[in-house]
Amino acid sequence: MMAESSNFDRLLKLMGEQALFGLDQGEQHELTELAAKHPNVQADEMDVLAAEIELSALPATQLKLPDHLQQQIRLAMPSGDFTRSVVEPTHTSQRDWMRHAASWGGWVTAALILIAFMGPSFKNRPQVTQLTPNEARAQLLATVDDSLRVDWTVTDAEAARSPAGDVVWSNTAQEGYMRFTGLAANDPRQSQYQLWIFDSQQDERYPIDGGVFDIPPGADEVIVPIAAKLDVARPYMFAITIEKPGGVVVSSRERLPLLAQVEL
Amino acid sequence: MIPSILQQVAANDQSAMDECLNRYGGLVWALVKRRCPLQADAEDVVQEVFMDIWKNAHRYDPSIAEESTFIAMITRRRLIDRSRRQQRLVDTAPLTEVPEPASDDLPNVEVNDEAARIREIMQQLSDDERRVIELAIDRGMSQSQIAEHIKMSLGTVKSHARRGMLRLRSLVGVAKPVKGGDL
Repeated sequence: MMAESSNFDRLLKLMGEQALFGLDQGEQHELTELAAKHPNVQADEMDVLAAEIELSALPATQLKLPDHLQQQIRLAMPSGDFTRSVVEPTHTSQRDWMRHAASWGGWVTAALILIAFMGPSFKNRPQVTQLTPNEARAQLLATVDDSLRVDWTVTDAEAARSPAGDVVWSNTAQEGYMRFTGLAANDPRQSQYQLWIFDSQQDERYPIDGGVFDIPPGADEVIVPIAAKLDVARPYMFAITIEKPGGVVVSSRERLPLLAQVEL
Repeated sequence: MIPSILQQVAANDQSAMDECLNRYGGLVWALVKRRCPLQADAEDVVQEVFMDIWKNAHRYDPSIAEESTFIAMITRRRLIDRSRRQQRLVDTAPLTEVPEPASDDLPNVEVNDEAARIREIMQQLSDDERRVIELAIDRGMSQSQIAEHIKMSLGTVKSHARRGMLRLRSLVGVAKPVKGGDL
């Protein structure tokens, strides 16, 4: 009884911290577990309160979204069905890319072509030093001494029919890239891929979240920058899972198409 | 019953995302500009927020929350996530690179009835509880920044934040949840 009360207090404390300051990965996991034990409590009750408080502080006359930004968002947004990935696919042939895009029709096609020429960022600002993920990956391999490269191993043939690719990571740069060919395209409204980094400095039950990403249809090769949520000290395995849109805090690892094991 | 914009977005209505941008672009921009003084940063965050909205529109339930609350919640989470990442970076950076908190002068605002209600309820909190919550929400300060700003120990700040949010929850009644809020 006392433990239950203590759990409930802890749940409320985490909800409050989430709403005001955010939680780290371990705390998010704890919140998810505690909320599951208290179905009468919505884990985001206090987020709603915080959102309402913040709304109350906004001027009655709202700012207007700058026209150029509005236009960029419109171009970047998907059409009714899935036609866009949040990652920038790299293509072996610019002509193939154009041909593929041309089959999609309408303004989405125009947007995709524009994106292909503008590089990985849609932002209307100088791109002088902006590297494509492919260039950044190559640079990391060429210039950072401790960069490692490991090939993916297929563990789920359904999701990855004839996959290839690798993962590149540098501890000193805290930067890395995943390269995929043959990994099945996903619909981000149904599911997304998520990277997990197993670090010898972390509890293996809670690998580091490496970010969610999508594989667009028709891409020959996709390179995805790794977005580790915590510093990675000594990775020994990288794993790709398929999760609900937005990813999860802790994966059930039920669908795990690819692994990359580092030889320590 | 006419579906809400977010329901239309979730239902793959091609014009709905445009309408969502028209209706809520200014709101998201206002929320983001409060925390991101640099234009380029703010533009990045707004794009990410609209991608989050697109991905999570199917989780919105109009029977339990206003669309603007759902949009603000998504925006706040994106901003908090960004702030925590930056905080991790500045932990290893020279102190001179730590961003200064925003000015003490809070914006002079007009609020609608619902918003006025929540601010009224906040008046029932202790001064310290209210101050900590306002610094967190209105200024986006971390717990350690608040501790430094108001010269309190970190433990005391955490305690005021926790007690304040619990009291608010109790005073409001249990706040209406947004379905599927684990964005």
